[in-house]
Amino acid sequence: MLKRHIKNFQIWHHRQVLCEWANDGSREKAMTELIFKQDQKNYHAWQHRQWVVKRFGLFEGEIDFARELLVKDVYNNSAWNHLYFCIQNSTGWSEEIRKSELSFVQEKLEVAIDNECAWNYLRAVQNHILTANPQLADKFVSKLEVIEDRGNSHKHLAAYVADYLAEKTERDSDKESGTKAVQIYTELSSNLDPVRRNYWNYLSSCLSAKI
Amino acid sequence: MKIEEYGIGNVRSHVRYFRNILNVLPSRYSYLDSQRLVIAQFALGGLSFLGAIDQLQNKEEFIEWIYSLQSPHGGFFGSKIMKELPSHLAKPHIASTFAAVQCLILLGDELDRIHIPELLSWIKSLMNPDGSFQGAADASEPTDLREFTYCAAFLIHIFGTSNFSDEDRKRAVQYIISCQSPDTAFGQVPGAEGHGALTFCALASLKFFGCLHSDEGVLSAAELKRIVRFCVNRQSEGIHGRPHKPDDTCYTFWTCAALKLAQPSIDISEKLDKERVLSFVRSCVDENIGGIKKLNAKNQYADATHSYFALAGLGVIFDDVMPEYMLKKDLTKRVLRIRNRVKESKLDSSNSLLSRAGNLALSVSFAILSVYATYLLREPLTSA
Repeated sequence: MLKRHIKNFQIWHHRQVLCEWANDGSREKAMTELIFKQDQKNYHAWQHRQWVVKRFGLFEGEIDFARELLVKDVYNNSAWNHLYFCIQNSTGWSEEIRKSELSFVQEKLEVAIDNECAWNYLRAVQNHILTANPQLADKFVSKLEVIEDRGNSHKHLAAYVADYLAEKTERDSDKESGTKAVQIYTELSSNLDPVRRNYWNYLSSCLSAKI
Repeated sequence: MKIEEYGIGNVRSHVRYFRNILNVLPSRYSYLDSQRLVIAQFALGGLSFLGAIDQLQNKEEFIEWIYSLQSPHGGFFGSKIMKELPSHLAKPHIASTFAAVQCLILLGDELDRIHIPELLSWIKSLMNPDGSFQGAADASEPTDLREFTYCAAFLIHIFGTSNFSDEDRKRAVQYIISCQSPDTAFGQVPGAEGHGALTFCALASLKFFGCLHSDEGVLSAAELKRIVRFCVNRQSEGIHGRPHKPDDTCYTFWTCAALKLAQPSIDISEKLDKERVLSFVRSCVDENIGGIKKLNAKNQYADATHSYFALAGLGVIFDDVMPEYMLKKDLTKRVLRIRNRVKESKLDSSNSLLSRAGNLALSVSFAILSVYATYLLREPLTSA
């Protein structure tokens, strides 16, 4: 029934209750994988998998599972979220793990630089403090400078660099960084991400007013 | 801005679409029979957004039908079938209750037949120790930030916090925060993927609980900016709910409303390309039957959910709809009036309770004094 109604809350919850009563989650991973064949990003299936994994302590192999899915589709936001969830609830975020995840996500950004999921993951691994890792940020600053033909696919890179420089401006009252950030927000508005031109203009004016 | 100015096709055909829903639905909707009230909310809400609700001639009939679904123990059943189940199975549901109250507001009712103490006590009974809410008192569904916390928050906001202590409120807020995902949006449960609709439910609930942009605000300015960034990134042409998913007309509401709640002082046009959103919604109009489809595809029909939320979303973008209420601004004034009336009537009844108690105390004291005075003034036993 689940295969025919993969978006029905009650059926998923019913399955969860049955697992509880039977105290057995051993078949659930395979079941969710059947659903992922139909719909890679099915919200309920992912939620069920997370519940099973946490409830029955079945974290083994989950990080690899998420990584494999990202090989198949690097834009799978559910897989990125699952990766974060598994690390959070198994090993936790030690300095070593943060470093290795930063490496992982940079690899994935080489595959697809326009991948919002990867950029979000990168920011999450840094607890959204971009100035915490200036070496990494400076790599992206240089990367952006080097790209001559900047287009829509570079919008997330540009946003990251601008945000980092804006953060640096606030933290260190660094006018030079502020000016650069305003330039990049302006470029986002006019060229790199015109859908959000008003938003980038707004950020640019707010920052200009501060420097 | 008037709905005709949005340019979303033939407004009369959309009105006809919603009115038809109130009469009869195709068989493919039969699985939703248990949630008739929710469908009614979408149809009546759609008519309201189109400025056409006053065309309905049988509002009183609808109002009576809605009240007929009220449980004497608090809450509303989703439909007659749900009410008439055997008593151990018949349970009112929080989504139906939310829909019932929405419908009554839309129909011009004053909500004066709601059994408020029973309602509040029932909502409290749905609250779990972790601060989440069940949908019904049979735990037949998972807890769901999307509907259940938001519905509960809306109802408590209108009908009062008598059964809901400050500790309860803090627990509910704590649960909402625990649903924040690593990309700063909110998921359905802790750990779940960030999602546009759930981000709306989280922010609206926080607002109703007094914890958004207030002294007790739980999201810092920096966090709110990040939430805004997530929402802003949800536009391709139209709007979608999660990164790298296709645009879907219902997110016109969820994401725009979340945006508005995250930064209320800033116009949505400063964040989104309104014209592109409009253009996407226009492309999803069902030219055959009216209403709005989920996406622009040949094998898609309009459906009540997407028609309602697309219009609600346009209402938010054009500043005609209060995001946290899902209602037009002129209706929310009435909601606030009702809310104040409920508050005052509780004060009145506690005042009249006080005054009755006071009167009783006075009467008793007077009686005692009278007896004592009579005793003092009586003839001495031994009179001369």
